Amino acid sequence: MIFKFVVKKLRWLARIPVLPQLFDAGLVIATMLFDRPRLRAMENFENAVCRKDAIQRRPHRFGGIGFFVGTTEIGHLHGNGLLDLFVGKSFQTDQVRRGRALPHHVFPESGWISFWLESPADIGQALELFEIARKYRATSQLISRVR
Amino acid sequence: MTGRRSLRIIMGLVAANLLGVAFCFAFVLLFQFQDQAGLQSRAHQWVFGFAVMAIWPSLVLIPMAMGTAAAYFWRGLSFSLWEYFLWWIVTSLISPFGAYFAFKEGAVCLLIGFPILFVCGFAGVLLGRLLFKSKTATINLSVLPVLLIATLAEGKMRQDQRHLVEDRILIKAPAADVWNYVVSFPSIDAAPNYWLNAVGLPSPLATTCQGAFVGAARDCIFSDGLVFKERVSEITPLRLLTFEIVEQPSNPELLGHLTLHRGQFQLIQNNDGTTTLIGRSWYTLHMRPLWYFDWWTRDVTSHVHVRVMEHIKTLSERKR
Repeated sequence: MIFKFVVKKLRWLARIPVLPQLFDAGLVIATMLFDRPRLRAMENFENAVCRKDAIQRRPHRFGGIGFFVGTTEIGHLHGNGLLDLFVGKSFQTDQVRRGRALPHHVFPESGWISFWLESPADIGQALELFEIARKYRATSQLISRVR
Repeated sequence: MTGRRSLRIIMGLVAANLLGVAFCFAFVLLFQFQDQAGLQSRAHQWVFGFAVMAIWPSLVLIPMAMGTAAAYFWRGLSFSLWEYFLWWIVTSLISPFGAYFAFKEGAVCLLIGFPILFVCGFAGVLLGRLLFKSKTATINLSVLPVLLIATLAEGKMRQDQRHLVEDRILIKAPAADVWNYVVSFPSIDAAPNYWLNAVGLPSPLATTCQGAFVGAARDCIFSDGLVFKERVSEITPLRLLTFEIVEQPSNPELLGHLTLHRGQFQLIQNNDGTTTLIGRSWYTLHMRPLWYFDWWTRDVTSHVHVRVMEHIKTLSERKR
């Protein structure tokens, strides 16, 4: 609830350097103390993603961990286990319709999806969605290069 | 745990705390330098401005830098988030304990400061964990100017300003009865019910005053033998008492952190035989980040007000 309020009403604060990182650290601490399965899922997901050669982890501008290929962002994981991925509008509609993901928690009409990592059982589905996002970005980059 | 692993953990722990201490010492030295160097006012202002802007010991940025430094030494250890968290607890406890035992810093101040030190430092650890493990160094470089700008911005915004805390209470007694206990009052016997008093924060006990005239010396006595020396600066019988704080006790909870300037009691006679008593305190806070410490200062000051005003209320209403 606090997360929802902050990202919807106080999003402008994210422009202040280090504030999003502080907020995300608070989320990680809360997850650590009150939701161990979620924390385990987040860690396992992060490790699984980083085993893929091309993926780099970096601090995300809105807090949390950003997953990148070069300078292109595939998605980011917030400290409360919320995974945001860019899959493009058509995949977004499809994944949401099939109930495999939620519309993005701030921009529901965009090509972004959101997925809650709640326990290690969610990692498989999260990795599948991540793979869709990674392939979408790779294909888009390829098309733009050909053009 | 292998010896090499233990060594890296300890190095991170020591490096983080050394960095924190270095920042604080550099800050103190720069301010001492500009005080002692006898600089002309313009140069003085520049040195002061530089000191403030460059190394203002922000409790947000310094713990973040400390956390990032620790993460640098822990980068090869394949820590889980829990391990980062637990080792950061150990690391962040060293500074407050060191400050308490080595520098006689006040326990309550340290207790108040610890949560922000811990959370901001952990944010630094999380940041460092990603920075020093990422396969690209560009972000590592881009964060430094961001941290510098943030430090400069916070330093630039540092303007010591007077703040006011006001509390009011309704007393079922006429102003004439209340006034008897405003200028001075006998000792408060009730035990304080504020949790910070239980961990060592002094609480108000009694007030003595030479008399109800401008210039009269007034002593506000707190537990632990602390005395605030005050002087009455404005007095309108049955309505207003203002006093300037001329000397603060040299208590580690206050020294360098907070300057109290003035206190005031205002009585408003209501038409139904009751009196509204308003207590006000003016202070300047020297701690940053202001939003965090100001919240605590207001809470502490307000509890002091309420304790004194509740006592005045009890005495005034008893008289009836």
